Amino acid sequence: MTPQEIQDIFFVECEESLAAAEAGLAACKAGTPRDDTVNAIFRAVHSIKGGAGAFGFAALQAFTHALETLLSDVREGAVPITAPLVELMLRALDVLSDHVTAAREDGAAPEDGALLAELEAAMAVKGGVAAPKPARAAVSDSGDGGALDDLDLDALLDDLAGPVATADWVVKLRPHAGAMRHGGEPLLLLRELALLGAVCRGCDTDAVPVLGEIDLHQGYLGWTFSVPHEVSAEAVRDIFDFVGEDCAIAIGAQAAMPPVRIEPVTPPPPVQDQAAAQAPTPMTPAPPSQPPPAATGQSIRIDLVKLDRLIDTVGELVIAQAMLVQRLQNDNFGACDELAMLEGLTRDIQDSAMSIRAQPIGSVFSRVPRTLRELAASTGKSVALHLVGESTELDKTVIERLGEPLTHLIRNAVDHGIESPAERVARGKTPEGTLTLSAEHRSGRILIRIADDGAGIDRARVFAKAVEKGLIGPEAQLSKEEIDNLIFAPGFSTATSVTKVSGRGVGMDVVRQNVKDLGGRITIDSEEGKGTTFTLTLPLTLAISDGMIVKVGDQTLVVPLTHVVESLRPETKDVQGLGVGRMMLNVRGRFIPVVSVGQAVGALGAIERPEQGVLIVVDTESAGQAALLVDNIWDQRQFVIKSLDTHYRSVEGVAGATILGDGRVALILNVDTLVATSLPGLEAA
Amino acid sequence: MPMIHLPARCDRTAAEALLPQMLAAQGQDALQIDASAAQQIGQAMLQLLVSARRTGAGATIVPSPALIDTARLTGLDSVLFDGTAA
Repeated sequence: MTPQEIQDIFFVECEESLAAAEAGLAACKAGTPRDDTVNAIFRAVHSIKGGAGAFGFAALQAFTHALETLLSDVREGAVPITAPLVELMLRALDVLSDHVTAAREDGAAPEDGALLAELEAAMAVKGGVAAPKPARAAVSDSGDGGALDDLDLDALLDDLAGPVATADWVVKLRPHAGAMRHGGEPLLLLRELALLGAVCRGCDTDAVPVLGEIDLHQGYLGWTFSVPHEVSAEAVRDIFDFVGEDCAIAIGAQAAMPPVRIEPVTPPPPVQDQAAAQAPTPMTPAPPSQPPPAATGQSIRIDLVKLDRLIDTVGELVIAQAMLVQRLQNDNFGACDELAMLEGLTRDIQDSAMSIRAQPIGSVFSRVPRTLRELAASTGKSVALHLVGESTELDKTVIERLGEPLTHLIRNAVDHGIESPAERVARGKTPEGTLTLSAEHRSGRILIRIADDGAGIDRARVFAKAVEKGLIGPEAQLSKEEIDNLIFAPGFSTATSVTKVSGRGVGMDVVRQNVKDLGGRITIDSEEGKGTTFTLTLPLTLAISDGMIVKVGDQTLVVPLTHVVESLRPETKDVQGLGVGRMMLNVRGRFIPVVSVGQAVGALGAIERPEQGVLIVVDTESAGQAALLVDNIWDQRQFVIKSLDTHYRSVEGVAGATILGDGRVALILNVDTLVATSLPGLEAA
Repeated sequence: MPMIHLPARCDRTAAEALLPQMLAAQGQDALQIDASAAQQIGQAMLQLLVSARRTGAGATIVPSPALIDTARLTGLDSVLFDGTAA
């Protein structure tokens, strides 16, 4: 593994640590911290600091050091958790996030002087060094998974646990091979120790062999440092926490220098333990007296390219399996048990492969508090965030591409939806607005809701604006839903002035396009005075989906199942004509327009009369429900989505292509566009 | 006696590259090691230098400020430089 790869892992872990710290501080802010919440925040910041030191990001390390010192004071009870302190730490976390970005992108470090001063002012001891405390206190919270748990710290620290420690104390260190693995450098840790005021009293070089026998992977040197009395054992322990048991530590002048541990050096494994970058652990089995940690929560990092290759192969497997079924059916072997077993296994493999790519949506949600803080600062609107279903998992690609539309919807909700505190009070609401983000799985799809308790959509204003923009005629008769949908029209904006918050040149039409690109849909539910809810319906994955294979004239097409409500074979009385060439289907007393797929795609020989074919009732974004007229439904099965944009070019009304069991290519219908373009008068919405 | 030059970045990779050179240069006289360009020094290189000093006729090291600083930090100044140009 190259240093660059290790650094990349460090930045991935920075994101995770930042999210963990953000979640912890959010719990503190909400008044629901658990006993270990502050410890968790501390560990998160500490691990960023450790990595920053190891990779030489001085500005990042200096800033994390200040935040970590304050957190250390908090977890020791020297500084109480108050609302202003939590706010301060949240702001510090924002700057820390900027520092991480600057380090990753090799950019200029953010301006943090004022915030550093604030952090220092909030510390128990001004100036950045943790208050001296009894050694017993230093080990009392060792349950945080500190790497020194294996040492008998209680005994080692006993000689420091006098009533008041006033003399400098001694620590002996010996980094083992593991501390130098994966780009680790023990001398950086010694420098950090020196920054605390520790001075080297001697280096044990006895174990260093002659040139002919030296193995440069091993650690032969041992050091004795004298540490100022005001520096706690925990502060020292924290420095070496980063390398865990790869650096043996003995505390006390009488303690023996830890012995050299020569380790068999093995080549790095192809995959890395998740914690490898920050705490390189020996690849050799632990001694019998130190059993390896429990297997719970173990994870590995995999190169995304390899994972995508696996998904691609699974896609090909799905196609091959469909081809086999087709072939066997042609030879009248379609009903054999083995085929059913193969189908079940293929689906299992596909589910497993997809679950590897799945990530909790919490990683997207975790960025929201910062967005809200920035919005509160620029708009003066304070908004409480309520998150539901953060652990809902969806495809990594969807997660990555969801951030932008979600952020825009949130900015929009705060800027245009939620009223100013004064207006809210006047309307009998709490001065603080509420934004609820929720995610849930529902019948093979993900539903994400962004709900605010603001003013709701002012439909009269939206209508007037749409007329003014020429999107609709002044006499147009639109339902509430149709008016709401106008805000997705290109170029539409009801803001009287372009604000710096949401007026960034990105309209709601782009948000809808982003969601569409993900194979999803967006719907609005708004009540004037009560608030607005945007619902994003997204597929679980972008690679493989379920659909109906339909026959339309000489064409075989796929209707994605996500749109399908029901299918039926209508009787003559169920379908009524409307004007010239339009038909409406009566579905249990409700009339919905019939769209002839044959006409829309120009298929030759498609049936024209609904009672001769099958109607598939579908949900669409812009036109509500519609009934697609097809000749017949052949099958309902999984299909692998192949992008037309990549292999050919974008085609209106077509979402992509797939390969059928008989090897032929079938187009996947883009139901929304197909219906919208087939029903005149609805394109504008 | 050939002079062995240390690069600016003296990490383990550099140490591993220098070890064969040092072994090859072993002879009657002390090894001549020019560390004047060394900027970043890691533990593996320090160990190599200590080892070179105690192998055969020893080694004479011409240090850079960074190496002197690292030697002081790690308490190795006397081990590395006593009797040499430091």
